[in-house]
Order: sequence, then structure tokens, then C-alpha cells
Amino acid sequence: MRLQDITNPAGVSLDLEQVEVNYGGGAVLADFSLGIEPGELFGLIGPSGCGKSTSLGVIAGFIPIERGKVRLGGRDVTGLPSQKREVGVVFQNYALFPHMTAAENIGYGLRVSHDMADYDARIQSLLDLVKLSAKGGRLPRELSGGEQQRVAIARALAIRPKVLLLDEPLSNLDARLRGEMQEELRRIQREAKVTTIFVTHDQDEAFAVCDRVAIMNLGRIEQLGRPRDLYRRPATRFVARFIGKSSRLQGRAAAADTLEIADAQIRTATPMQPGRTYELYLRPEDISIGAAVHTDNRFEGRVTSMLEAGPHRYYSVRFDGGEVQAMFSARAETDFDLSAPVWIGWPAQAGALLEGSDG
Amino acid sequence: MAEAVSLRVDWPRLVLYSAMLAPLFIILLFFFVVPLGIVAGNSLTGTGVDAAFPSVSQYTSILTDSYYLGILWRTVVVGLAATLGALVLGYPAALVLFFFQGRWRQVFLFVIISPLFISVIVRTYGWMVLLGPGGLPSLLPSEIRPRLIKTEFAIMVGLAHIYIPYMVLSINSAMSRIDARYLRAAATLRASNYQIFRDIILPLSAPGVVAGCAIVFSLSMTSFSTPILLGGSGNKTMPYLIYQQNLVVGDWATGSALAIVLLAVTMSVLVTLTLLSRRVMTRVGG
Repeated sequence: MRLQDITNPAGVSLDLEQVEVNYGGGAVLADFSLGIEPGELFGLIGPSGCGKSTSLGVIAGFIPIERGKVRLGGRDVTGLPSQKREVGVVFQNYALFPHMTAAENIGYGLRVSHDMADYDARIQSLLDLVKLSAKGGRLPRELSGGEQQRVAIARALAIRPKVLLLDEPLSNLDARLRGEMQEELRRIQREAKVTTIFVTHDQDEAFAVCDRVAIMNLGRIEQLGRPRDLYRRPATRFVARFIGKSSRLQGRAAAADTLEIADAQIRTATPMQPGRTYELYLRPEDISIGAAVHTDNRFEGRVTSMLEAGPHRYYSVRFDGGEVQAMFSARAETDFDLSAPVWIGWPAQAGALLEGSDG
Repeated sequence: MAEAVSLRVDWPRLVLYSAMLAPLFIILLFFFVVPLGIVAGNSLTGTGVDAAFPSVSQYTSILTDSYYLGILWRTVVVGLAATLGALVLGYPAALVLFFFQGRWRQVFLFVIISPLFISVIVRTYGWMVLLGPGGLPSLLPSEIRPRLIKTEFAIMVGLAHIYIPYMVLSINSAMSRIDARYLRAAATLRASNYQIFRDIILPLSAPGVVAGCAIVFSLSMTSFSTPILLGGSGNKTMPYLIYQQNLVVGDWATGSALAIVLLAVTMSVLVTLTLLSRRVMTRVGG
């Protein structure tokens, strides 16, 4: 049996329009809108309490909304109960029915809707899809965490959902298994071609798996885009701080292309309004470090600490404008002693320049 | 890779655990095991002046005597009926409790267990008044007025009412282990509310049902005051018969044998219940 026969042949679009959710007074989501393309693997990330799980609950129909619309493939499903939404959900703890075998869990959605045509063959194809061909007869407690997770995905896919929702599906797995499952998820999603939303607090995971990612904070989307764009061009200070490592330099624009921080003058490529306050976020890989550097901005500083991280070493360097962290390949023989003078530098177009500061 | 098993005895731990278990063990030994042994011994005493020991004559006379068998039968029927009544009334209550949230769950739970704070005798007297001639029957015209008090029905009603809290608590404790996400997962899999109840809640609450039935049945079979007060001397049950044989008639051999028979019958019903529920119980890990 072909996979197209057991899953939805084409994903559908998913739209949230100006959704508002209130829990006991405070708005958890306010004027929240989101558009997801058919077949896309979309990530929702943010700190806990940012509203990412709430938005999943809204899509699945667990959480009632005060205002707004939820559309699946253009159809308004706002008032429909979970049963009628055709949404597959994989829960953080998988929520497998403990008294049913893996195969019974996967087939539950088909059995309750009396969709029994080719039942056994479809269950077997789903077991094959998640690489559990021989373990259909096991109870959830007889399966490992990774296997339970795959049963949960197969169970959610069995009903041919229009949208698949994954709520922190990898957070209960150990690091090695998580890496494997990230690839598995990508493969399954691509084969099943189902529009998928992946909620996680782990940005590396979201970046590794998703086509596009939205970063949420306080019930709003701070920025939405491809992982590499979010990383290279954070649009808000929250995103700049939330995503990846970066060093923050705060100063005042002395000219359109000059940021003044204490005694240091920093050249920037993005034009600034003179007199206003800006923050420059530099990635460790933006910064060159050495006995001599040749670039637009170069400063002499002292190494304050060093962090060994496998393929890279991170040096913290204090200079007149503050402290920055520079990355150095672990392959290099050179090492810098603590408190030894070094040169650091970065080109004018490096980093993200964002207006404002919180002091 | 085999785990290395340490065969070394951890003496301090062993002594500590023994000390913690000892008081209960000693109490059970001297006030339960030994008396039970004495009762079992008494029951094996033969009849007559030069009574032989051991002898099963007490048992043969009980099990061939229709008077005793009638009372045993009534005890079992009343116990099963009370259990069924407590289950039928208690399960929906436990279900409501399951869907209650936060503070209201506490309040409702308190309401359900609050009868336990009142003496069994007082609660039984309540039923005597309600079922008595001046109670509920007096609401009906005198031609069709049923006699409720001093009937087996009265015993069943009284026992079911008195033991319902145990049933609800037992089912509730099983239900409280049901993850709310199972219900959400089932809903997204298009299960109707009835299907969610039938396929998820019912099987996962089964261990609580079995435990609740076992508790209520055991308590009903051995209940003393409620059957006497509501059933009267015409509807004797085993506990009263045992009391009568031992302390009124002074026939300790028969009384002891009756007690052992009651114990054996109660145990066999519980074992049957356990065997019948074994299939679902192994699934739900109960």
C-alpha cells in the first residue's frame, strides 16, 4: 500500500485570524494571526508562557477563543469541536492509550469512525512508516520513549489529518535520540506531505527541522521567517537575544554610520538616526580575533575567559566598547592567554543593529 | 549485560525495616492470625460429649441444613445487591467528580465522604424512619402501600447507602490517574464523547471499580448492625447468626464453623471477581 493512500495526499493551508484567548483575566493571545502554507513544516518557538502551546490548543479545538477565526484549507472551523477538525495531535508525553497496543492506538481513530476498509493493511503501512513494523502488538509501556513517540505520530497521521500538530514531541527524549528523531520527523513529514506545526522551546530543534519558524513572546509573534533569516537578521531585540549566542553592544549614534560606545567608535553599514540609542548584536562568528585583524572595526582588548565547545573555542574579549565573544576554530593551533592583549574586529555590515535600549 | 547483584546483607537497613514493620506485625499476629487460628480450631471440634478432633461434622451439618444455607444465600444476595447498587449510584458520581476542576472537586469529594463522619447506627436509624410505616410508604394510598422495613430490600438499600463513599473514593482514585490528554487525544481522533467514555475512561477506571466492589462486598457481607436493624429477625444474615451461635446459644463449634464458611464464601466471590476482571486488568496495568 502506498503512503499517499494512507495519509492526506496534499496538505492544506492553516490560518489563524486575529485570535484572542483569555484565561482568568489576562489575554494569552491577543490579535494573533498566522498563515501557514500547505505542506509546510512550521515551527513555533518561544519561552514558556509565550502562548505557543495555547495556539496549538486553539487549532486543535481544546481552547475556546473569544474572538477571531481558525481556517483549515480556507474552511472556517472556529466553532467546531476537536472531533470535526481533522487535526492530528502529538502530545508532549505522547498520551498513548495505555491499555491499547501500538497497533490499536494507531487504529483507534479509524475504528471509532468505522473507517474499516483495508484496516489491517493501513495500520501495517503506518507501522512501516514509523519503522515499528514488528512492534504493533506491544503495549505502550513495553516501548521505549522514541518508539512511543513514533506510535503517537502514526496514530495522529492515521486519520489523514489536514494538519499535524506536534507539541514539544522530542523534549522527553535523550539528546542522541532527539537528533535521530529530528531527522525521522522531517522524513515522515515529507513523505506524508502533511501541513505540520512543531511547537518547541528549543530553537536548535526548530531550526534543524522546520521550513519556517515564528518566534513568539507574550502572546505575539516577534518575527517569522526562514531559520537562517531569523538568525542573520533578527528584527527585534527580543529575537536577537533569544536566538543563538550574541554579544550586545549599546551606544548612541554619533553619525548615520557611527555608533559611539564609551570611548569606542563603531562603523555600521545600516544607516542610523544620529542622537538615538542603538544596540548592536554581534554573533561570535562575526568577530575576528588575532594578533592583527584587518577590517572596518578593529579594537585592542584583553581575553577575559575562554569556553571550550568541541569544534569551537569561544573567547570573551573586553575592549573599550564593552565585552564581546569571538569564535575560533578548534583546529587552529593558536591560543590566547587570559588577560593577554589581542585584536578583535568585524566588518561594518556584520551583526544586527536595532534601535532602542533598556539601559 | 547483566547487573552485578550484591549478595551482601545490608544489616542496618534490615534492622531498621524490621523495626518499622514489627509493631504492625505483632498486632496482626496476636489479634488476627492467632484468633483466626483458634476459630478455625474450634470449628473442627465434633459434636457431643466425647467430641472428636479434628472433625468436619460442623461443616457437614451447616452445609446440609437448609436454615443455615438460606441465611448464607440471603447474605450473599444482599451483599451482591448492595455492591451493585453502590456501583450503579457511585460510578456516575465518580465521573462527575472526575470532570470537576480544582476547588469544586474538593468540595464535592467532601460532600461524598461526609456521611462517613456519622455513626453507622445513626444512618441506619435514618433508613428505619424513611422506610418505616410513617416514612416513604405513607405517601402512597393505603391499598398499595408496600412494606419496606424488615425486608431484604431494606438491608440492600441501607448497605448500599452506607458503603457508597468507599465505592466513589475507590473509582475516583483510579480515575484521577487518567491523563486528561488521553481524552483530548481521543477527541482529535474523532471519538465521540460516548466513545471516549466507553474506550478510555471505562477501561482505565476498571481497577477502581474492581477494588470498590471488593471493598463494598466484603463490608456488606460482614455488616452486623445494619442488617439487624433494617431486616429484623426474619431476615437474618450470617454475622448475626454467628453472634447468636457463639454468644447466645454458646455453641462455639457451630459459630466458628459458620464464621469460616462466611470467610470462605466471601473470599471465593472476591477471587471470582478478580479472575473475571483479569483480562482488562492486565491491560490497564492494575
